[in-house]
Amino acid sequence: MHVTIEFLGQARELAGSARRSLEVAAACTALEAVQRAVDQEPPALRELLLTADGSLHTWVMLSVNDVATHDAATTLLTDGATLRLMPPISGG
Amino acid sequence: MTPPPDPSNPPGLPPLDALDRETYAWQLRLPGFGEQAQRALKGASVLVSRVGGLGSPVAMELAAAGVGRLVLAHAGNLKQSDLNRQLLMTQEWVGRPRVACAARRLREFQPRLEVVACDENLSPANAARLVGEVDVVVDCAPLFEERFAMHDEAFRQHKPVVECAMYGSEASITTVVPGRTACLRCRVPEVPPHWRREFPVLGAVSGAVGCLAAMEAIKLLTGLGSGLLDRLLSFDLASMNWNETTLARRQGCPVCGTSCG
Repeated sequence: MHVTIEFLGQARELAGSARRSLEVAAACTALEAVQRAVDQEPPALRELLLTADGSLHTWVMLSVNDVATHDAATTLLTDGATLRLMPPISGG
Repeated sequence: MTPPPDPSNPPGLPPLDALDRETYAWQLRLPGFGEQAQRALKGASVLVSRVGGLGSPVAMELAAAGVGRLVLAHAGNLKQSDLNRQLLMTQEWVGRPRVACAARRLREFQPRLEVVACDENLSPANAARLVGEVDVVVDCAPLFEERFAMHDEAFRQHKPVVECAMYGSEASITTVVPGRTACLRCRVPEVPPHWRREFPVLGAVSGAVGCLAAMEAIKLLTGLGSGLLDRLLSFDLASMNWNETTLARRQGCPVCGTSCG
């Protein structure tokens, strides 16, 4: 399956660009796709998004096809899905 | 015998006078707005927490629209480096309290506006008082600790919050209505350690999201249109990419979790 990962805010800065394309296996979860995408990026991006055990930090918002999910580990992706990772911002 | 209530003249809203009608003539033509909405704004009170790059245009647009009372909370003195974005400030005010400059500029612009200027940032110590004074809160704070104090108190008092933020060329905004929408803590349950007080700012970005925030507050106060309830609008003005994300409550949210349905 083909999925797209979009990075916003500080994640985009660390990734160096806003978007990644990824080939993943069928029945891939959102968390597995994020872990795969981050594995190819600078360690600072992994630290920003994931805990030491590979879970998504609770404060990182993840959406799949424009709908936020609080349960990345059980959210199954479909071909063509777009995942958006948004570390919170507070600039005022 | 008491006469029946006049639906075109609801009690509790201040009447418009001739100067009001002249000042707001152009917006009174707006479909779905009208005299009752203008009266609602005139009778409304809004807290703008921080009047920097984001809060300055929020306060200015609310004053322009005819909101009757603004409570401004922002501690500290104006720095030269604030002047790339803090539109209510002036060069000669550097070194003096920001909130006093903001209040002065707003009163010059709209002499009938009541401005309450608090030279303090919102905190657990003053949140109940500041939130208790208003109908709507606009959150323009640069620190999550401050945002949490504001949102937690607004949830306790059942007050809606327009929550907006920016970073570099990006910004986001949503409207939180206690009991109806996901709250801030559903998205950000704890202070994210990566966030730092200093961040890249281009004034046109904070100004853009500030104008959107003012519009959200106007909609909450008047019933105009539809607000960003459970919708997070995020955009990057460098690429002009705009996204909308549907939000959901978090089971076990430390603020609104007990009322998650």
